[in-house]
Amino acid sequence: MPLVKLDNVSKIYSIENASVTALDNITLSIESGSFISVIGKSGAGKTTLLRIINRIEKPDTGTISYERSVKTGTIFQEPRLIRTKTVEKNLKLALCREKDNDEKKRLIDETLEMTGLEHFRKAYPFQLSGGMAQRVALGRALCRKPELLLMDEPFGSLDAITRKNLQQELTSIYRSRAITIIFITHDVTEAIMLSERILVMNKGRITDNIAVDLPRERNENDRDFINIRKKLYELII
Amino acid sequence: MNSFFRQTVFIIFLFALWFFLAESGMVNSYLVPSPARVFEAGVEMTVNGKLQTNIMISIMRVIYGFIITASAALPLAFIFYLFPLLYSYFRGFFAFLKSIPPLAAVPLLILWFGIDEASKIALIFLASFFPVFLDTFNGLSQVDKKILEMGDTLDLTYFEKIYYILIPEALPSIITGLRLGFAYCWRALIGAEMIAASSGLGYMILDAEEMARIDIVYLGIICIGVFGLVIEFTVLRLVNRVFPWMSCEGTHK
Repeated sequence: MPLVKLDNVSKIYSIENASVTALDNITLSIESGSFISVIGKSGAGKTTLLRIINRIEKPDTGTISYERSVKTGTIFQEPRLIRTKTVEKNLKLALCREKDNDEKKRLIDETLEMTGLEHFRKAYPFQLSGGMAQRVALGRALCRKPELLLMDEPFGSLDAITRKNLQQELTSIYRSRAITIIFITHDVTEAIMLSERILVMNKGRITDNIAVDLPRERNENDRDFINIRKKLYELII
Repeated sequence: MNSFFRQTVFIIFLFALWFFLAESGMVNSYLVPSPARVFEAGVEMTVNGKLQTNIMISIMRVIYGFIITASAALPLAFIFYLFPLLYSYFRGFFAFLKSIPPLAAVPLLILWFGIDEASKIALIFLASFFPVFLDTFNGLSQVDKKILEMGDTLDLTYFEKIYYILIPEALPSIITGLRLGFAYCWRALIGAEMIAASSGLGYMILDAEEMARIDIVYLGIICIGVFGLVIEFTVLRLVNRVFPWMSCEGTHK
């Protein structure tokens, strides 16, 4: 059984007496351990799909089922940090149910080391750059050891260098942990660089499902990479 | 030149101007006594113990009034935020109350609470309630729904979201409200001490006016200003030290 399964899921929003179909009859299986990117134009339904998988919203029709009680971690476009809490306390928020204080401390230390924020443990969000704040958000999502990581354009607002670094970190996290990732992005190159499967969405439907059969340590100047990118651009436009 | 130095220079200039005007005879010395006379009045009132007694009484009134205000305004703001339907009943009444200057309620307060401490503390409460209540309520209402949604993704319960997200996010506004409320308490003090008081800085000023001791009136006013300044400065330093994020807040006043 797949980790998450959507059957004929639809979602319609009412905006000023008009109905907008955000998701139109989506059927999708997400296998455990996969890295799926979802691309498409603005308003294609990518974020709604993620919100429904994340159980923040309920579908109007159709069903969504999980293999078991799946622990999720979510990263949004913006870090969504608590402005009055230090980096350490923002991470602790994800572990507030953890009773064992030693284990909690160990997980936080491990997360700070993984995200390269050891020296910013006591820093407040206003003292962090955009990239660092997004690292904290990544750490907050990962420190509770999620089985399913849901990412909604997490690197969209970052500069090119920070973005590249975080992409590399994410790839190494994916390769070192048994984790399933659903990654929403506008950036076709980013999707090919990171994922193993790319879903193309248009007007609330999944119009294409492209496998990325490229070895890791991908190079965007490789011929196969360029071919996939060209194909995806054609599908989106 | 740093800001503190510039402010000090201006205050010294004001004192020099005051001294010059009073000593040169350009202004009536009854209306504007010289700083030296006010200083002498301060020494006299300190030696006979009246100054420190009145200051302490005023400070205690402010503290009691502030504690009562905070104890009522903070929980009420939380209750109204959590139960917006309940607030919808009170909203109009609160707008009505907010527009009434607290001093207009003095006759009623004397009637209800008598001329002892209760009526003075009630007036301080009326003056400081709305800054604390409104800043807290607005702070809670303006917490970004996206941040609360982040709590959902961490599987937090309703109460966990209140404790771990809502309160910390609203804290800058709550602290600003408390600071403003405290400043309003101090300002309301003179009004409160005009209610048939027999002690406190406000009483000291009014009593001095009746005794034609204009130097003591000046002394009282300066004491109120200096204490307000010291409290404001100390609280600001303390807040910025304990809550470093306050120094970067837009709500910081």
